[in-house]
Amino acid sequence: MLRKLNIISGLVLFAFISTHLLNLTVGIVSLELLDATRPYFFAFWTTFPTEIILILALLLHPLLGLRALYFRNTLRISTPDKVQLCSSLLIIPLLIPHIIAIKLGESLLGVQANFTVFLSYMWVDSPMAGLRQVLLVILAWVHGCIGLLTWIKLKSWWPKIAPFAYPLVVAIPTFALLGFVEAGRDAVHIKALASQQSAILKYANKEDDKRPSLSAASLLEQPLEAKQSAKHSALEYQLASQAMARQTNYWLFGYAILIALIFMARYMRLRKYREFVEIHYADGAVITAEVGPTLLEIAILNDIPHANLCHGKGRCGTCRVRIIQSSSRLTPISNLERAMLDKLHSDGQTRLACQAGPSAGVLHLEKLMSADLQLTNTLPNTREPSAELVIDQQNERAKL
Amino acid sequence: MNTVMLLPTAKGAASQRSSALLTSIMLVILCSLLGASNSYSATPIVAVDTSQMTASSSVQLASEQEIEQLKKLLVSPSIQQWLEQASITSADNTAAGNSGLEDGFRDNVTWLIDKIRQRNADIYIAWQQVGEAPQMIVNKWQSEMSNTESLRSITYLLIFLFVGAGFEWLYAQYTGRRLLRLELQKPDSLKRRIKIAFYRALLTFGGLFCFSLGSIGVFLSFKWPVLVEHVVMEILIVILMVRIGTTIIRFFLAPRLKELRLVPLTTEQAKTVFFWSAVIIVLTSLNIAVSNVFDKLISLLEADLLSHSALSINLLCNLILLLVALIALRRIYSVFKPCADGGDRALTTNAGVYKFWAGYFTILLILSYVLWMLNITLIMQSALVIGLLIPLSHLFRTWIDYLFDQATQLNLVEEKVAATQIDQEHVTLETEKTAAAELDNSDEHPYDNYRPIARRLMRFVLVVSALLTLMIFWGYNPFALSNAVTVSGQVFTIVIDIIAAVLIADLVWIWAKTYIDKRLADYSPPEDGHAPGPEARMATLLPLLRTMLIVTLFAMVSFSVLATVGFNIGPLLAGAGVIGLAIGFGAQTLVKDVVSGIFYLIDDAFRVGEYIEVGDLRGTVESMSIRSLRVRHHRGAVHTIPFGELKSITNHSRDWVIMKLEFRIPFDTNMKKVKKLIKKIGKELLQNADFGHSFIEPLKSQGVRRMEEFNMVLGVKFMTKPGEQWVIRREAYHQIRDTFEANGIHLAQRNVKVEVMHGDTLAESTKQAVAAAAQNVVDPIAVKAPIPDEP
Repeated sequence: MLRKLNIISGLVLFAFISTHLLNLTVGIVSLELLDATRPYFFAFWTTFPTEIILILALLLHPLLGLRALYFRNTLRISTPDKVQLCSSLLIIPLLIPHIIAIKLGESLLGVQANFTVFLSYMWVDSPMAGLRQVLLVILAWVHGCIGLLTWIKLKSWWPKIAPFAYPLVVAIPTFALLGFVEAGRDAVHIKALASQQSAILKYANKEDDKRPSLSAASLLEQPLEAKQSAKHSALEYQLASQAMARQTNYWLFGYAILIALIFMARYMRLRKYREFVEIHYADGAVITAEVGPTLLEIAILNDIPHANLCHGKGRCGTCRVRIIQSSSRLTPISNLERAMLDKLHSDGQTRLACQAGPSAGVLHLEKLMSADLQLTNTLPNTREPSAELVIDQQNERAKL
Repeated sequence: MNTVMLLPTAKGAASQRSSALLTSIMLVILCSLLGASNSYSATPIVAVDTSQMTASSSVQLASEQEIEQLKKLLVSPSIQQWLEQASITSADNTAAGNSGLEDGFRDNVTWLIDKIRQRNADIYIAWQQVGEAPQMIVNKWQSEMSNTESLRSITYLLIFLFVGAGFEWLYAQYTGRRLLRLELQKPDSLKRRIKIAFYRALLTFGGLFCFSLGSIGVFLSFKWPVLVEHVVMEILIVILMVRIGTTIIRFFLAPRLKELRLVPLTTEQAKTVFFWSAVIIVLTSLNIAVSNVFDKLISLLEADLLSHSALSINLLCNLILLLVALIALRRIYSVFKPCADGGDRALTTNAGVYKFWAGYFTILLILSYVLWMLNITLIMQSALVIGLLIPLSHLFRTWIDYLFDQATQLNLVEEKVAATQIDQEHVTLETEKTAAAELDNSDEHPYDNYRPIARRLMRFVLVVSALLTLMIFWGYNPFALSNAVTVSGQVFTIVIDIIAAVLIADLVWIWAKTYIDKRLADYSPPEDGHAPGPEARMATLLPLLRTMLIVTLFAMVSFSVLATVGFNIGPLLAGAGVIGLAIGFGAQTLVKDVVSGIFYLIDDAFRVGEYIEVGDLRGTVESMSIRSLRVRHHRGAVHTIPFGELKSITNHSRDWVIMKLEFRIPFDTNMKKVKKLIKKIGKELLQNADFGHSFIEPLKSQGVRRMEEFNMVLGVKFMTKPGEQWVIRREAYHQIRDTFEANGIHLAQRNVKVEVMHGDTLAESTKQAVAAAAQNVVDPIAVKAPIPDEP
């Protein structure tokens, strides 16, 4: 249930980011067009049910991630998982200022949230924010893609469209970033023009005091009161942005404490393990590892090639092993594992390496799947492919 | 089974590991040093260049004005007189050249000492400024590039890297499976292992290419301020350098894949070596980038103060690099030491070797750092190149040995496995012994013949590249002919030329010698009573060829050396040419004989013991010399034929011979019976113990070949090996006659029917007289021609 929720919320977020980035690609043409197309891209996400769903997903996904972090046995994990974990931890603090600026910006500062305002802020006023934003885009996209691909790889229709989908994965963020840069240049240009104009105005104003000229006078029809109000609003603006910064800092601080708490809790949970297990693989490799991680994690840590299409989520069953002989007690079979094993019609000796964690002792086992297996295109249309089907003949032969 | 297979590997492992350890330790250190040398040379080279440039420009400026003065001076007669005198006296003064050289040397030393003194002062100031240096550079930086701009450039950089990484990821999606397959393979031979490692590196380089395509492509599509472009480019270069470097090291070390490792290291060692090499590469490229950026920064403004700050930063960077390199050295040494202390006697001797090399490299590193600090760049670079040459050649030698060992051993193991599979019952101690023996004298292995060549080639490449680097460091263009002005430069060029000539000659000589020796070793002299094979003549020719080659090489090398030193070798060559011409005319036919002899040998036209026919002469080939062929006629006469005289040769002793026999039988003979009989005889002859094996096709009847006046001609033929046909023919005649006789077939005889009118009335005596008369008429009175000889 939680797993499904995680996937669904992740998909919702990914869809939102995709639309957002697609919108940004328009920026390659011009800033005006970017702002003009904004309502169309966001229309779907600002209507009643989807907005609620989006907010829910945004709340749910990180919380589920933190829960998973708490239950993680080892942090020495495979590279995609490592990237996934680090990016997930970094996305939130990068995202908080962005969300606050959008949500509170309108109410506190009275600034309408559109691309022109944001881009000029990010490229001219605070380039640090621009840098942060680029980082956020990259991290969010990488995180989303890893998650999405892990999930989608097991679908029967995926291998057919994969060669065409992969370029999209790179093209969308690349063009979005290029759009960001190009639109940013437009923003810089506009700002420079504006400041130039104001300088001219000022100059003209000064001249005006002594020797009023026609052109200047016509430009300065709306004079002193407006200036006064502008000064006043500038003060307000400063105060409001300070308040916003404070708000942002509170959120960031709270997030840091939350992360620290979770790591501490995890440390407390794992403190009791300090034993070793010796694993003998049927192909001759022998490794000794600390107890705690699952069999799959141990294999990856020790550079033993091991099939794991779903990266240890218990969804593919490709990591399954046959226990030949064991003096080590394996963790009991969970419901998830039981379901997968039943689907595969496995005997009692078969376990999923990504779920089973050994205790101290000696363990003899055999990997049942070759490490280089992949989904093949000639897959029958099953909704959840069982792992027997996913091995192509060649791999079987290679294993023999 | 197991013991048999394990024995060779275990035995080899001991000898291997000793070389292996040595190899790996040096590999890393080499990497570190290469990195170090680069970084050290980075800044000083710039300094040297600028100094040279300023010098040359000032010279040019001066000469512009002076040329005008010179023109004026040359016109005046007094000067012309003086010039004439001077030209006369200059001839006498050539002896004074030595003192001039000494002066130059003295000048050089003073200049060097001045330079060092200046450098010392610089370093002193730089050292005092170390604390302030960063602040100054930051200030300068900010004046050149606003905060906004640097943040933006970081943003851009992030985008480039992301796009590059995206491209690489895309590439990985399409090739990742292939890469994984390669990595999962367990190659069984060295060739395959190298192949897989190569493919793997190729795939990785493909990814790297995609990365650079993405990042640099986006980089190029923007326009930049100068400094920003420089900094961003430097960072991109650093990243690419590091990735290329690590990929190359991974190709050899394969720290995670034992099966693809090309150097004899354990996994732990490979990991350590890889890690520290990567660290050194990262530091080195960072170091270079930093110094380049500072150079750029300094070049933008002329303050002296900043150059000191840059120097202090440089000093610090290089010091850090040196320290890290030393730490790496220690770490790697500590990884290798426990293996060496393992107790094996062969390995404990190696412990000393490691210690020596560790010390050697420590000293070399520190020495080059000190030399760099004193700004004696040239000497530092030369010391580094020469200092690296020795361990490098050692390293590669060990590595080549390891590869050859590996290749021969794997092959032997394979052969052994095959052998044991064939006769599994005979697996006894004996086979083990033979296996061990095979391993011991592995000289027999085909690969081993190339070992010396590979070694020489490696050394040749190393020395030549070292020489070229040295030449570049010293500022001589290696590809231009010697046009150096200074004495030292000339000496240098000459030495390099000589070394190159000797090395090339050595390489050619070793290659030819190995080949000839191998051919000679393969040749085994014929046993008594057996005719020598075609290699026999090779065996006489090859040593001659070898001597000729060494003489030629020696002559060529000495000529080239003489020419380089400055001797005029024209007369020598001309003399040699005249003598060669004379000898050539005199020995024209001799040369023709020898050369055509070689070609007959290549054609394999005849061998010793074969029966040949040359023009009118025929006989058995008895012996061959360089010049001529000796043929013995079957009646004892010996012909000596120079090879040059041979036009076409008929060889009677090749492959097969067909012999045809004829019998005359009466017209009333039963041909079916004859055919049957002949077939039977053919079978009998095949069974004969003496010559039955010589048959290629058995004796068989060809039926009636033609009809004659009084009889039919029966054809019979058979096919044998050359030289055996005579005996078989004799026996065939014999048997056929006997068999025909026994079966009532009479060979036709010449008979004359004389019809006499009214013969009944003649008396007996008269009848006889008539018959005799008729006989005389019928019998032709012909002198028979001699039958052609047969041996």
